[in-house]
Amino acid sequence: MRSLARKALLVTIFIWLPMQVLGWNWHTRVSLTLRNQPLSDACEQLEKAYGIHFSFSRDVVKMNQRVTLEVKNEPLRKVMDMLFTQNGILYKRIGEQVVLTVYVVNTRTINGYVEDARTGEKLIGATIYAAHNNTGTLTNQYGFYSLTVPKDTVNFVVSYIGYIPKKIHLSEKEKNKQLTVSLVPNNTLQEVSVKDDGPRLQEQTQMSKVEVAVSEVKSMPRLLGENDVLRAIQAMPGVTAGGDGASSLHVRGGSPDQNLILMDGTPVYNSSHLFGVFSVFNPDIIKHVDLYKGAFPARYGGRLSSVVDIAMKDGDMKNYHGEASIGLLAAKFMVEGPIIKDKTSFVVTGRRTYTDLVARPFFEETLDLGEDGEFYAYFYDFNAKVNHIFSPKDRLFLSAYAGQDNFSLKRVNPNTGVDYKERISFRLGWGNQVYSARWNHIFNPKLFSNLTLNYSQYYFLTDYSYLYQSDDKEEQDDLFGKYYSKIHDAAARMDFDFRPNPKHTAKFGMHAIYHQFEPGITRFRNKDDANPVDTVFNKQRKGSVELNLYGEDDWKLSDSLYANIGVHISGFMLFPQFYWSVQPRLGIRYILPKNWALKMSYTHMTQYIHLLANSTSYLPNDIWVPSTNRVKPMNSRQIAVGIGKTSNSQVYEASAEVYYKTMSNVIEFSGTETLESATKQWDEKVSVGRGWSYGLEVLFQKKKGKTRGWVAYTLSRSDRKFPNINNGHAFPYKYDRTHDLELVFMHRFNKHWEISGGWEYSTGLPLTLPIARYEGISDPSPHDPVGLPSTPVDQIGDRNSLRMKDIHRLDASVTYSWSRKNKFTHSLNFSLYNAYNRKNPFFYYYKTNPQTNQRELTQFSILPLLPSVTYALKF
Amino acid sequence: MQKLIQHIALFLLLVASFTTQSCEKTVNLDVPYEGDKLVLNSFIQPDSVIYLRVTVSGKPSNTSFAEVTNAKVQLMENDVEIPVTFQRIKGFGYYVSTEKAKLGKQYKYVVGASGLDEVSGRDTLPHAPFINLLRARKGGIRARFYLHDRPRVKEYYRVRMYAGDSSAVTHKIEPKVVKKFRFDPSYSNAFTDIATENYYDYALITDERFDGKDTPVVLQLQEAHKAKDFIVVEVTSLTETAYQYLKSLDQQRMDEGNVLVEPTRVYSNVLNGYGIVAGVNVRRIYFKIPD
Repeated sequence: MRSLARKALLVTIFIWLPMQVLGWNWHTRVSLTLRNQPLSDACEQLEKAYGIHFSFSRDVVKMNQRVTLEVKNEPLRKVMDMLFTQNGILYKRIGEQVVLTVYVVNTRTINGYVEDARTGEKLIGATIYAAHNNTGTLTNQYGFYSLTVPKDTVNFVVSYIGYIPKKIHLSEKEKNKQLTVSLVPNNTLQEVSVKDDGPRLQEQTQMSKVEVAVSEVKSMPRLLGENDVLRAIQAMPGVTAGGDGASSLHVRGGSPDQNLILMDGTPVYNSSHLFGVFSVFNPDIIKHVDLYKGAFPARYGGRLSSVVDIAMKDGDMKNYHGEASIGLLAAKFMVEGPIIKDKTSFVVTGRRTYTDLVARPFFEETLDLGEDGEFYAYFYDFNAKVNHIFSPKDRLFLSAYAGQDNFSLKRVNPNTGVDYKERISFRLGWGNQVYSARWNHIFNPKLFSNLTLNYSQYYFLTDYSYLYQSDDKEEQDDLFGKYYSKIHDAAARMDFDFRPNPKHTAKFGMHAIYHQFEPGITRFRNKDDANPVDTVFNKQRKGSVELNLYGEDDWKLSDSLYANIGVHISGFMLFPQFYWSVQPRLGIRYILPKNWALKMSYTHMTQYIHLLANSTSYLPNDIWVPSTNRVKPMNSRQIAVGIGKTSNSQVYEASAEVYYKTMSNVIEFSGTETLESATKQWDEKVSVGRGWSYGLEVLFQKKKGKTRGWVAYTLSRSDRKFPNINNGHAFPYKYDRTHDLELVFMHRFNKHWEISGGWEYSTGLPLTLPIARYEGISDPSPHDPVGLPSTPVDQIGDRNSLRMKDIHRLDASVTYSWSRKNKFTHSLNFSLYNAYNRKNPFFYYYKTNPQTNQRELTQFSILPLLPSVTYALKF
Repeated sequence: MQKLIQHIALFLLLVASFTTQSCEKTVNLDVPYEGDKLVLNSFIQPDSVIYLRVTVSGKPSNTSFAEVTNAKVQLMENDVEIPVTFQRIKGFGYYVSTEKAKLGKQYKYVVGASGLDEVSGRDTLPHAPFINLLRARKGGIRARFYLHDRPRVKEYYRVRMYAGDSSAVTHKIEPKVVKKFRFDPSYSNAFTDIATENYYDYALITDERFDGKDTPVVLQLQEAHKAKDFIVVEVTSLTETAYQYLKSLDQQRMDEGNVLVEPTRVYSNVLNGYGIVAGVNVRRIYFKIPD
């Protein structure tokens, strides 16, 4: 019994003594209750209950931070973490004391820009990668990057396709560092051009995005000597052209008015010249082109179907360069260089068609314009940009674009042998003006901002004057008429790019736009003495305000799972109406075995403005109008799933996606009278309906080497449904193509010779034709002068229920380049559009054959084999 | 304006096609045929007997259409039947009412024929337009008259112009040959016709721009007036039904071969068939060109 008592006493001593001598350890279970009390209270309680002594300096450690905590029998380590670590305080046991100090930052952030070493041009989408801890980031659209890594990460690799990767070594002692990385192009065969491919597919959560390299745009076969970025985009999956030769974009079943086309962040309302044959973007000034067909990042809004984000060159900061070329249709130039070396640069381009100057005598005679007659038909565009570096943290960009299509004629007394004088002048034109000022500011290594102020205008104008006077002056006319429509946008936008750590890349910002609509104003003036008339019809200006807020986070959830979560909130006010919309954006990326990325996205988009179009071809006089009570804002929802992979060498890239998209409140003109102006009742003349599209897109690309190119296949269907069109039945969208196959290749043999080709095959476009014919009538009585049965009437069948014949076409080009000992490089391009002269259907109609007197269905084709030559000079 | 733009775009297309040797060729597509249907065509004029033409529709390639001479035609005036007789006039068969149409009445046809669906169509009659003061001068290319529009009523008009001549039978001045003209741009919105050489057989307008006003209307002709010639201006008031038919028909004709637009479906108020039954009211004035 005594022995037992002695043993119990010994055990007690052995257990109790260490607790008293050693006091505590990290596994000691403690209980603690704090209700909005300062941290110092916690220390006192722990000291009192468990004998844990704390040592700290009140000047350094903020012990007055208030905490609320209730724990029972939890390990001491866990409680200390909750108390201190989460409040930025570092704790460490030294002897029997817990020493508290401020949390020492053991990471650092490197940030800055990645640029072309030769020109200073910022590189978009360059990769900064730290292999040590498998962490990396990409430069944003201004070439800025920010990467926060543990301080012991000292080696980085900066890479960009077409450039020699650069290794960077930092000392472990260095703190946050701003570092501009200059990459040297590795392109030895051809003239250096920015090869703007982004990161590997498996490294980006973004899907449904197409990047077109400007160098490829310039290498592709040309139409009438002009290369065109939008035409290159048409060769990508999910994008179709409006018709043979058109540069319009129909993305995943959407119409061209649903494309947000941005030039340096500013919307361009009409992106085409010459009724849609060429785009307004001169390839010589383009740096980077991104096309989003879906999975829209939260920073974009305002259109349903696509975003084409075109970044212009900033201008060479180091040397002067220039380029001039002349083709079959147009002549153009580009000059860039430093204003102050490494501080301020400029770039200027201009382009004008010249065929009217050459063919003017022909037109003046053909159109019987008289000796003093005039004829002009041309388009031009002009770009200018200035880029100034104020400091490593501040940079300013000023850009301007002006372009116009112009057609004018003057006819003076063309007829002889008459007793009157006559003078007619007529003008028709349309164009865009786009101006923007952007200020990049780096607040701190993790926070980048961009402030944009911009203005965009699109106008359509036509006017005429008519002077008529009889020789005896008893009869005279002095008429003047003018019609115009305009849309103006003035906008301010603030964007932030915040990269707190490698797991998060956040973007957020706001955007306010003031839209002003002048939807078709007509003025007539007649100075006829007897009855002078001076009237204005539909003179109205409507102003509306659109506000947008957005936020998105590119989030690394685990090594194999990533998400892009965002929301775009917008409101549109056209007093007294107000519309708003919350548009969630979600993207998921999961890394599959063998480095394939499985991606999924869901996006919701809202468009508050509509394009009133009488025709199906989206002509320049179509009128932009705001949503009304009857015609509400358009909405779309799109879901897409796909896989993608870029090979390790970044030579090959493959992707496949399926998508489903719905669109509501789309409009279509449904009346018999043409819509000359958007009067206050315009919304009664359109039908409001919905659309949907779905499809599969496959793209395989070879992106490096002497031979480059891609194969793109699209299987898709797009439908529309309106209550009072086609008897309320759904019908295929006008530009729906079931199958679309595109093959594009480029091969550079040596520094002199390069060839390229493109072959397209697609299902014929939908077609509406008469399904019956019957007799017409024009007058009440057969005894009237024109009283007998009139021209027959065609009974039109269901909308787009038939198909044209399938389309296929080969384009090819060869370029020879040479340079002499001076700095000039010359090139001569010979292109063939429709190389094997395929008669592709453009439209069908019934035509009476004069020989057989039979009415026959006739196919009309345009654009057969079209050769062109372009000469270019660079320095 | 839309038309002008479309025409310029089409012109460029044609220029492109001619300069690039584009081509047309006959093709065979499997175009479905909707089947034979009865076609009723009748514009009803107040104070005149009513003429109805009944034919059968055909395939889109047809250039002529079969008359129905033995149709069962029922013409109702406010639900009271009016007899009709079949007559052949200038080589064409018509069903002609035995009574004149009256303003303020509604007229309805119900027509059946063997092997074809029974069809029907109805409309009312519009008031006559009021026009006067037609003037023109020798050597000039203009003609002016006044149109007096009724206020607060949506009116639809068709305007035509003829060379007139004295009738050997009635000794009245009657229209003989259609003269092409272009309408004053202030009313038609087609002011860009000024810059082109477009002249038309008729103009279809509404009173949107001059509701309730006495409006001077100026027509510009393709050819200059000669002394002592007669000119006749015809203005037809149309019901909305008649206007929709004529306007959509006009649109369909203008758009023929126009790839830039969807083909226009011509308006019809004939149930189960095709054609039009609509009220019109024609007025004509004439003027002798002074020496």
